[in-house]
Amino acid sequence: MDKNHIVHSYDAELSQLQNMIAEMGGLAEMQLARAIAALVKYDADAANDIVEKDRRIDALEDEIDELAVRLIAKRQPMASDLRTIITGLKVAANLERIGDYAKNIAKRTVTISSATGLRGPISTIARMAGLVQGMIKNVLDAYIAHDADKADDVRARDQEVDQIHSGLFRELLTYMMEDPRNITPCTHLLFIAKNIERVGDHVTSVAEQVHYMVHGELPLGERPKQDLSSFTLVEPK
Amino acid sequence: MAEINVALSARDSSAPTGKIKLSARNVGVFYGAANALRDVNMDFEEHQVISLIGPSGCGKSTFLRCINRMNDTIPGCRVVGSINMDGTNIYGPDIDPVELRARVGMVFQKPNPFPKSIYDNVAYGPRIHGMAAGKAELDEVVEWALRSAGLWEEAKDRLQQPGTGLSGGQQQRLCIARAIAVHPEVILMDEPCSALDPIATAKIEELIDELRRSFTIIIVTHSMQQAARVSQKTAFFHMGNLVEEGPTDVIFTKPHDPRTGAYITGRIG
Ligand SMILES: Nc1ncnc2c1ncn2[C@@H]1O[C@H](COP(=O)(O)OP(=O)(O)OP(=O)(O)O)[C@@H](O)[C@H]1O
Ligand SMILES: [Mg+2]
Repeated sequence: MDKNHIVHSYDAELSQLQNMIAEMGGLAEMQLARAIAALVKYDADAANDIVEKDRRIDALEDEIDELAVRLIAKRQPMASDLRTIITGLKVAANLERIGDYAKNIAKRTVTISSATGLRGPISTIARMAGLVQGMIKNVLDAYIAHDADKADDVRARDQEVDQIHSGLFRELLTYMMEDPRNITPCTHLLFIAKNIERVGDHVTSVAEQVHYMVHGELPLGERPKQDLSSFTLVEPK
Repeated sequence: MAEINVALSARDSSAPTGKIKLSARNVGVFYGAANALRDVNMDFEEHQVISLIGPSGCGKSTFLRCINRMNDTIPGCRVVGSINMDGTNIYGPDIDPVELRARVGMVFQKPNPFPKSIYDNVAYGPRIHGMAAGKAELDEVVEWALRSAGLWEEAKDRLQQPGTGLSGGQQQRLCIARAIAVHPEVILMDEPCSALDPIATAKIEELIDELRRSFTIIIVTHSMQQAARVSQKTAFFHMGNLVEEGPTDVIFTKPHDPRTGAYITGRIG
């Protein structure tokens, strides 16, 4: 974005807002990565640490809200500046939710602590999470660079996440039917997969906000939806 | 401002009709050889408030003065193009500029009451245009105009005192009363609040919103927030050109032209 306001301190405050969002986004991305790593290794200590670190994300959201309110009151922003600030507020809210999902994944990791025999679905979960992390990174880059095209690409990629989620849902149901002892860990894994799928939705929402910030309107057209898990049935043999 | 509602309900007050009140076509202004305004094309809807914004010297006041032919009074000033009011070119041969100025009133940046009583300030226009038959009728017009300007309650017990003895905000409302006393169709305002405090400004803005029911209002302002608050349509001028005009909501959230964006966000244009 143009950093050439006549009042330089205004530029400085807008940059600060963007830096805080970048920091928050980086943290959310890392929390998700660490939550998945802890799940793969059944590392309860790491999982507990993730729960603890979520506070920093929450605190950042509060700081961003405060800064945005101060900016609106002090500068009475217009046009692209107004859109940047409003987008900042919404993006921060989305990132905070992403942090919550990472935390929830970590909590479930502590609960199930070990699910040997479910390596397959767990590696699928890790693949899905890797995809979502990439989306978080790209959408943050798009936000910082005010790059709507890049944001639109991220939005399009959410279908892949939905597809993996639908497949995983079916796979986990099958495991549960095979052996009732799988029901507890598989149910947690189902929620974990759902959490990751929701993170993808929040990233998509951020991508749409970036598009709005740049163009002044939301992207046209319904977002492609590929999550069929709501319609999935697996009949016992 | 209940008193305004009462005063205005007597008149044909209506919501925006979509009817074009004024349309400027290829309007240009020269001060001697200097071309201060170029090729302005713009329509003004009846019962709307239209803001003209832009950096100092871009030609806002020059354009505003075209609409009541005030530029005619400036030596060396030449206006080209046409401005139609209800379909008639106000620069046509049959138009008397003095009569035109009764139909298109003007309020200036600095409140400028005449050095006369409050009553005479308001009665001045109706008197010279022969709009009141006798004392009783004139009293009525004065009361109506002062009520419409939201000044009646404050002024009714001091009508014979000088207008210059009022506060700045009251003086500006007196000037608005003076402008509307001749029942104009259009009111031009050139930075009407720039000399007023926030409370007096808010009162004028409230008044503008009420007056729009009866008049078409064109306002020049340097306050983006004021333009955003009071107008339905905004036009941005830059170096003698009309760069962009459109619904106020759009201009202040997603202006089309980068020059508009640069100006309203406080960047160097
Ligand atoms: N009476 C005049 N004689 C010569 N030049 C003039 C006259 N009035 C205005 N100008 C010139 O015409 C241009 C437009 O002036 P105008 O007063 O319309 O600007 P403006 O947009 O109203 O500015 P401001 O916001 O400062 O009131 C300027 O370059 C100004 O110097
Ligand atoms: Mg001016």
